[in-house]
Amino acid sequence: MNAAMPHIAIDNVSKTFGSFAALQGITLDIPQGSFTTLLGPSGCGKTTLMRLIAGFDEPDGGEIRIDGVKVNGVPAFRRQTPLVFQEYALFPHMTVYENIAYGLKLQKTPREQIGRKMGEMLEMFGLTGLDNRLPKQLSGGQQQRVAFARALVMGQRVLLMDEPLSNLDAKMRVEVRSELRELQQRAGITAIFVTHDQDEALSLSDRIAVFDKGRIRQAGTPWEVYFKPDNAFVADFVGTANFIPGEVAGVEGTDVVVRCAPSLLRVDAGGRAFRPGDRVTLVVRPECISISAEEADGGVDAANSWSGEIVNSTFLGRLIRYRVRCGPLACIVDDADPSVRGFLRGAVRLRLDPGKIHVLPGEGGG
Amino acid sequence: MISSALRKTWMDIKKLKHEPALAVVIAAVLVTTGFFVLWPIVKVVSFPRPADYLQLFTNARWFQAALNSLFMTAISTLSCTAVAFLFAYAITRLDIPLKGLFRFVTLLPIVSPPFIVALSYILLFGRQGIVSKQLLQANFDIYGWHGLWLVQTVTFFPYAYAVIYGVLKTSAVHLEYAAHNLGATRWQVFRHVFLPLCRPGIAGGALIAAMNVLADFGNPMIIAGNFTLLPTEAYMQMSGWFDLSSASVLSTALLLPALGLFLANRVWVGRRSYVVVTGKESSLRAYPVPSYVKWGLFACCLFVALFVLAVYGVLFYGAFTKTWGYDWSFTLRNLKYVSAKGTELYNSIRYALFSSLAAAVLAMILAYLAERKRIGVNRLLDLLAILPGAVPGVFLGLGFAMAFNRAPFELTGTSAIMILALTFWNLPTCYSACLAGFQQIGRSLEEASLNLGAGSFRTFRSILLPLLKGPFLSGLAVSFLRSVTCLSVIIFIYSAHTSVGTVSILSLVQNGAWGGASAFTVVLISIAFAVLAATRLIPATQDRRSL
Ligand SMILES: Nc1ncnc2c1ncn2[C@@H]1O[C@H](COP(=O)(O)OP(=O)(O)OP(=O)(O)O)[C@@H](O)[C@H]1O
Ligand SMILES: [Mg+2]
Repeated sequence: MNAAMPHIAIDNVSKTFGSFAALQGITLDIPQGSFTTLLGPSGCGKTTLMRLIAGFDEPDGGEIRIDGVKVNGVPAFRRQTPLVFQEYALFPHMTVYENIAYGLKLQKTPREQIGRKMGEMLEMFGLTGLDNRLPKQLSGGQQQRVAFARALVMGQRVLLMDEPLSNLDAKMRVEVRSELRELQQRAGITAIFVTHDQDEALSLSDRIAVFDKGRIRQAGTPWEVYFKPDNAFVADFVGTANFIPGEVAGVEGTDVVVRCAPSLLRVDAGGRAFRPGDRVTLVVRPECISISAEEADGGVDAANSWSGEIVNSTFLGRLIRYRVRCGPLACIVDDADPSVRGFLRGAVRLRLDPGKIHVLPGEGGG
Repeated sequence: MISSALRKTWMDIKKLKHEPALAVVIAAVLVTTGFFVLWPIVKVVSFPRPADYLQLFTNARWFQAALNSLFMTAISTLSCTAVAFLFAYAITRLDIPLKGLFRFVTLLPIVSPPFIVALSYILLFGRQGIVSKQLLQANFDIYGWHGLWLVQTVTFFPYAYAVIYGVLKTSAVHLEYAAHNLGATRWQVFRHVFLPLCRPGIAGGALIAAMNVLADFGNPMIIAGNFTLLPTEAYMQMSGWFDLSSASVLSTALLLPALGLFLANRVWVGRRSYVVVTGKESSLRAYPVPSYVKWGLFACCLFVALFVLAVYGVLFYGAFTKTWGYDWSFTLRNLKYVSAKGTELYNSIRYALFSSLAAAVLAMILAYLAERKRIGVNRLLDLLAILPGAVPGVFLGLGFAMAFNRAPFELTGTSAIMILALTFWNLPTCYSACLAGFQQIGRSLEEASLNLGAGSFRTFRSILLPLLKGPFLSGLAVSFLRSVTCLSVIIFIYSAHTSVGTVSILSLVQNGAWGGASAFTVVLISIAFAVLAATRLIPATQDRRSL
């Protein structure tokens, strides 16, 4: 097998329900052994794409290839793409053991081999001793582990997961995340993971595909998606962002000078070509602005240093989030070390790090 | 639009080449069901010449029968719905004693032969009736429309009750509280909130009652007297003159309104869920009603309940009484009528067992294919499975008699035709039970099985079948009871060798042998329940009660 060939290739796939376009021209390569997350708001088509990959539905257009082989039309039970369902879909009339062993039995695995694999799985997922229970006699977390064990027991190289953690409580979700990531890397599985939780996506993935209304708005590493969003939708959906409208005043090498309401800012163009007079939008993450009390002398009024007035503040534990008015702009600013200073009030000074500002073409970021 | 739908259908059908065995099953089911459902209908409708149909309007007697059928359906539907609503309201909303009794009363008529109420009615109010002769010493003519109306109401209100109860049980009490909170009086809440919310349920219940009354054959046969109806008139034409053409015309005239009711039920209420708001069970207690209303309604329920109990009690009494009306002493003599008809009893049970089993299995397969497989012909399969539900029993029987009376499909007088007719008559009952079962099993369970590598058959066998045991058995049990107590379907197709218990009962009634008829009925029902008990199916009958 060619190393450069994606394990799963999704090529210009579209799907409509009646007249509703649930997926439009989706193209996405999923490399061997990678952890890819489909991220997007509710109803954007993530589950629909998963179902197409697993073969429960067929695309109306485009191709899906696994290991370079087109699988359109191949029935679900021949695809070897185990899926962990959001609601787990454990068979209610089978015990934990029977649920997990179901796939092995279908493959006519020899008895002693089933026993061995089952032992491993029960052990690995901490289900030992629960094997004779019915699903309804398990807690939510235990059910979820059964669902994972059932999908993994046959040792296939693909694992599909549709919001598998969404029924767990917040703390458990974070714990399971790292276990999941470790397991995937150890086994070298190609994983596709669906979520609408950006923290989950950022912390788990090698690559994230951000979906909106049946289209992919950006696909890239978590770092790219967070710091170099392709458009305002991605910037806004992944994390929190300030959108500052401006106009290109000049181009200097790879940098652009942008005139925005409080001042001129010189920022990296991010490889895009701009011309003076273009409308642009600056994307600034709240944690990329530092905040301090306005000094008595008014401080140095450098280009990247703005004075503002606190409108309100929210205590989030690990940080304080301020809403600050700077002339016509309203900015969200995070103070990441609140324990030192406590709450700020009244007039403040904001400092922007031009290296951390991302520029998007057009008003509203296109 | 149409061409794209056709394209989709074709795509779905093409996908079946991956599962050839499934394709074979689909083809087999489609051909068999289509043949046994459609062919008899076509035979009956196409048999008379167009001129014969005109007689419906020119022949005064037939025209009257048609009018009578519609009239009886209309008034019985009204009364059935009213009584059903009364019971449903009292049971779900009022804090009254004897609810267990009221529930029991709504179950009894569903599990007993269709004409049992008519028979009891004669024992109660007939010339030798216990009420008319002993209590009132009056002699009134009970045969005719008033009697039939009363009997139909008692017989069929439980069917409407089942539907209305389902709606009232889930209707949102908190909305009523909200309305009270906004200042509405009790009566205003009832009119503005409660009634509108249960309207679909009431409509559904009324339609079910109407379909049953319209198609009923047993009760009118026994007590309608000279008040002719379409089903009885069709039977007269057949049995009296062997006039196939006239019987076909009359049956077709019956089929049309039945189809209309059936369609109305599908379109208005059919698939729409009766559940009004959310799946969240409300634990709010109903807003209390004034006590005079409460006890007034209680008295009405009690009256109906006592009447229903009297109906069954008198039947039992009649079975062991020497000569009804003259000699009230205890006897077992009536059982000799029964022992003389051992073959008929045996046939009843045998045919009912085979046909309900066949119907349940076929229905399961049909429901699976129609509900779970995207195979392009889902709508067609669904239609074929429910269509017999729209066809009155008399029509279906006549259809089988006419469709299978010559080579290569010659079945006249055989057990096979009895079993086949009952099978397809029961198909919709089993099918809707199975369909509801499938709809309750999340689709993802099946997908999970496919996902793990199981093909269609394996998934059906190891996932769906075990989970569908409940609906399957309840369909089976209800069909079994329906078959044992069925008269309308088999009245046109039985022969000397294949006669069944209900036919014997009918002839005993027609000969005025009330004691024998009662005894036979009691024995028949007892055997039916004994069979159900032996197969542990009694609880299953409680699950499904409508249709
Ligand atoms: N079988 C179907 N018939 C019609 N519309 C459908 C069907 N399945 C999905 N849709 C529609 O397609 C869109 C995408 O659905 P999908 O389930 O893929 O969303 P999702 O991204 O998984 O959302 P969520 O995060 O809420 O699970 C939705 O608007 C949904 O209503
Ligand atoms: Mg989803």
